[in-house]
Amino acid sequence: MALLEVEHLTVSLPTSDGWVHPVDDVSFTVSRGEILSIVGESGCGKSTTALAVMRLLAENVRIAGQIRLDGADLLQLSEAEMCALRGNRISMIFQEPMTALNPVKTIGFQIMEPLLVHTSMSRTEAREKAIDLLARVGIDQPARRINAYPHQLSGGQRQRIVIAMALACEPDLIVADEPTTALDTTVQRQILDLLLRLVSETSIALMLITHNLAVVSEVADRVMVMYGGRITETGPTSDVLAHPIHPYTKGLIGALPRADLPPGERLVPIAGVVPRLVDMPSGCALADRCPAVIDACRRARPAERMIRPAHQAACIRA
Amino acid sequence: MLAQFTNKLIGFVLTMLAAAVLVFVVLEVLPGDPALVMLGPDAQPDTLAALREQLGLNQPVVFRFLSWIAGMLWGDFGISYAYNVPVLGLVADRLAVTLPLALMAILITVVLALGLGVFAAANSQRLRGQLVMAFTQFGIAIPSFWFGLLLILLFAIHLGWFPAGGFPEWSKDPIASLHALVLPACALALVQAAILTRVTRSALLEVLHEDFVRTARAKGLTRREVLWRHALQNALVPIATVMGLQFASLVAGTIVIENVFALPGLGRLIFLAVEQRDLVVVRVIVVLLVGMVILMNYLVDIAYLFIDPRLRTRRA
Ligand SMILES: Nc1ncnc2c1ncn2[C@@H]1O[C@H](COP(=O)(O)OP(=O)(O)OP(=O)(O)O)[C@@H](O)[C@H]1O
Ligand SMILES: [Mg+2]
Repeated sequence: MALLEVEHLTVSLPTSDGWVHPVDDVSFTVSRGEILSIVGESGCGKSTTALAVMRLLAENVRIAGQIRLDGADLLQLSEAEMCALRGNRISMIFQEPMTALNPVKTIGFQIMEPLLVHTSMSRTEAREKAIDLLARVGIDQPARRINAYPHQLSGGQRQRIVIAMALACEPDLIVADEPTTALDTTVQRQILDLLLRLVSETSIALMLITHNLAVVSEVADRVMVMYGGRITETGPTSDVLAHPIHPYTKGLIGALPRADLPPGERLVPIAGVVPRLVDMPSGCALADRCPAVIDACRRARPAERMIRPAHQAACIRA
Repeated sequence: MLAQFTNKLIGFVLTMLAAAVLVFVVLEVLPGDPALVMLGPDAQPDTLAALREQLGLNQPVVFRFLSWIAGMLWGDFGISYAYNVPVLGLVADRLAVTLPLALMAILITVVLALGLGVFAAANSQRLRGQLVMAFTQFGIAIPSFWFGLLLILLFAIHLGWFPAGGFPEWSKDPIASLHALVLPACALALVQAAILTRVTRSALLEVLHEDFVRTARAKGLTRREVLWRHALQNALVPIATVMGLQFASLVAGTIVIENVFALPGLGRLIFLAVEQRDLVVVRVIVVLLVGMVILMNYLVDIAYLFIDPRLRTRRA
């Protein structure tokens, strides 16, 4: 049994035009010690999937399906039970380190907090542990820095703090939503290396959301490509990147920045734009943009099919 | 941080001085001759002249201003024309009523406003949150003197839990004195608490959209824990600002409320002193009230430094 099993996850939002589904019938698993990468264009439902797993979506949002952690369905838990899990067995790292920390509390307070909430540690013990954690995430002079406020740290350092907070209770699963996107390129590298090192030292499973296919190819065991709130392709990273099946994945890989292109000139994966949630096609979500589209694509939503071992795609033409 | 304290202190002293000049000039320009008021309309011109001489009203304005300021610095606040006693003692006695009254009203305001404001923010989508907001509308609309009369009717006359007015001296029975201040403090606090509740709610709702709130939730804190431990302190800067501004209207409100509840406070004293053209007393009380308001805003400025660490290092 995998650590995290998500089945038929659908997230529905009320809008003035009726219910929309930023995540639409998505199923995937993450095993212990595994790194699953979720990629896709902006607005394809990556963050919404992550927040659904944390059950941190707004109150007016409906979640259907199952999200099982070690077999227990998170969607059946009470809010109090969910609070006991968050930051303890599942934790989350966010995209914006500049705003993810409370500006008026010391970083020590913020790192100690999950320890005090979830364990029976005393304040002194929690403080010791927080200093340890700061050292582990590469903050110099941790015993002094523990009294610093977020504004006294750089973006990279703040993301290290967020990582320390996520690690504090030694969770089974970390959900990282574009943890390096907001950082300078050199710092991105350092933070990514740090995260990988910490994850590989333990058997923590990592759900890594990213835009960056170079990162995916380097670190992920498996990759899941999303489009329009649905999964288009899943499989072992090397297989998906070397032999993409779905036209959308092919487009994404073609969009990798290449040395022969002038820097800054980023290719659009496939011509066209992501359809708005309210007018998502009833057939394949990609139908209006796909170079290989046929009439049948518009009729029914393509099912995910196993095309190669452990490698699935949702395309009738595959 | 120390430099910031000193800077703000200098600002405080300068503002006080400016306020003193303003108060003096305004009362100087205002029509009305204290000597005439003291002696009555039938006074003989030469008696009038003698009294004016005795009160020092014939000296040049600048000289009178400077000697007034210098006197106050030495603790000499002048002699009341009307009561013929030192103003200092007169004012100090009344301050012993007004200051506790104002402090009690602030305490009630803050406790009510933070409690209700957090509650209304936590329940902003629910009926009970909306109900709190509806009540604050009432609180803002009801004039405090009328609310004071209602309180007297219900809690003093009908239920007999509190005295309807008057004030036993502190030295006799401090508990009874405090007791006598409860209803007037509530009457004063109602409007302020209603305003501050709305401010607290909207400041909190704004903070609750921020990313760090989600981070705190991802750590496993409950909504309530996030609200009290993380959101409130961030919302406190606008709350403290409004509190500082409210203090002025609260002080002004004491003048009315002390008359409703027949409390021998500064408000009543200034009311009578204006009537009797007791300029020396009016001047001192006004400067004192202005001083209290400026001091409050000074304290709010200092409070910012404790609330938000980002203000400690940057702004000098
Ligand atoms: N609360 C909300 N109200 C309305 N629409 C929402 C809400 N939350 C998400 N959406 C919509 O759901 C879709 C998926 O958003 P999501 O943030 O999950 O995308 P994403 O893949 O994380 O994109 P990005 O790469 O930009 O972070 C988007 O079209 C977004 O506009
Ligand atoms: Mg996102």
